Amino acid sequence: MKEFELLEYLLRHAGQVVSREMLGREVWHVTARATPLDNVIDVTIARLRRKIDDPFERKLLHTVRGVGFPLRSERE
Amino acid sequence: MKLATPSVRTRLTLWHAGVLALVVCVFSAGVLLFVRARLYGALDQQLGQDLATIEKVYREETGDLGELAHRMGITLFEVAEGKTVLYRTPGWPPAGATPYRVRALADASHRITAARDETALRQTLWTLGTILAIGVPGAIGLAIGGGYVLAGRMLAPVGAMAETARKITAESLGERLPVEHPQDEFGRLAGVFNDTLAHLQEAFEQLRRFTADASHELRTPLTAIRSVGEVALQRSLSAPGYREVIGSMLEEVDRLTRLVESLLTLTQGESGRIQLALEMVNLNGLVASVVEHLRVLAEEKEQSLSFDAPAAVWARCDPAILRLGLINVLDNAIKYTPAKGTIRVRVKETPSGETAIEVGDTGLGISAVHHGRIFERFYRVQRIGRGGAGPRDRARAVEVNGGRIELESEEGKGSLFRIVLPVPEG
Repeated sequence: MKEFELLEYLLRHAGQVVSREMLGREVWHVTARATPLDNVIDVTIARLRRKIDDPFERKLLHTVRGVGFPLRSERE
Repeated sequence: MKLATPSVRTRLTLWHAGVLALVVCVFSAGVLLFVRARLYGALDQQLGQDLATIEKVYREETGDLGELAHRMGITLFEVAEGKTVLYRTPGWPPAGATPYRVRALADASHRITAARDETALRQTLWTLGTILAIGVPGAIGLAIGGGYVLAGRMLAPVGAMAETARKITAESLGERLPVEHPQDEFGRLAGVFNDTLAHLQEAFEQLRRFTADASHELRTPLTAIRSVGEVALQRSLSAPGYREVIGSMLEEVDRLTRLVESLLTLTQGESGRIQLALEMVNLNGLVASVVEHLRVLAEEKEQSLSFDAPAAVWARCDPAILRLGLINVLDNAIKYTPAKGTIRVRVKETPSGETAIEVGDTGLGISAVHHGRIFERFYRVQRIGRGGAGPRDRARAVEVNGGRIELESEEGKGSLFRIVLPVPEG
């Protein structure tokens, strides 16, 4: 399950901003930067967010535009 | 000093004339020698008869030798026995300006010598020689002139072709060489030339379209970066606000980077610099992983994405490149199929023994007019979404694998992309 792998990777790099490129390489094991992969990553992130963030007030999975996704426990 | 090579026309003419001159000269010499031999042969025969007659008269009655001149027209001869001259016609021995032919008949006891005027014979030979001497150069002259004109007419298409070819530049690639007789050598040459021109024109046209499309694709993110920056500078923002702006700009930069990267990949592929790592690949595994990879995208649009395949199908190809091509095909199928649509991926063997990966969708379909151009770089029937890898890249990705990509599509009824891979050898 990719979402779980993604969560695992994000947890391992908690507090760090993780770029799409890193995710593609480490979680999806795709080195070529093909356009569809970014969509796949975005969709998976969105699903994960729906599960871990949407039901709760305290958001964990953030987005830094143009850079990546940090997992940190701070209030927005 | 070395002479410049004369034109083909001149060389052709000279060769023709040279060969003709040789043939005519040999022939003329032959005729002259033959006629001469025949004429002298006739004269000698006559002299022989004369001698026979004289001998006959000499053996029967010596006294009548004088009458021979009147009776037989034998006017010049001499009969001798040893040193003693028995008879000699007036004017013997033949001398003076008139040429004579002399023949003798001799045995132990006597010797008969006769002569005949050969002026007429020489006259005939002289006339013949004169005719040939005037005629041969005349004929050669005519051959040179005629040959030059004919060669000129034969070579005229080459001149016309050269003239037209000189005028053709990158801007006027649409022009074609004139083809007068498509079946002859020059016609075929012009045909080949025109085919080359057509290919060039096509390549140029594609390059131009590509450049236009690429610059358009590059301009959009640049404009976005510029306007975002300008707007941000016009008012003072809080730190998060600036972060937002910088993030937005970075997003566009990311897009630019991706565009440039895909451009690089494309040009490398075009110039054949892709190094293929061919191996036997289990297509089912590869296709299944791609389908799983992109399944989230289909689920997001509530599309049904199915994959069915027979038992393991093997093909010889570069898995990385094939994967890339297939991802593109499938991604586009998902993108252009509306929500709740159906996408079917199948691996199967064609009747001809080739292996095919089919991606069928219930999307918008592509009208027939676009079929030919769909595989050109950046070509989009409707310009939707972002730049980057387009159908053309998949075609490249498939072609470098030695396969081909086919498209069956009807507007409004969905499309079927078929990647056909060659039969594995052995």
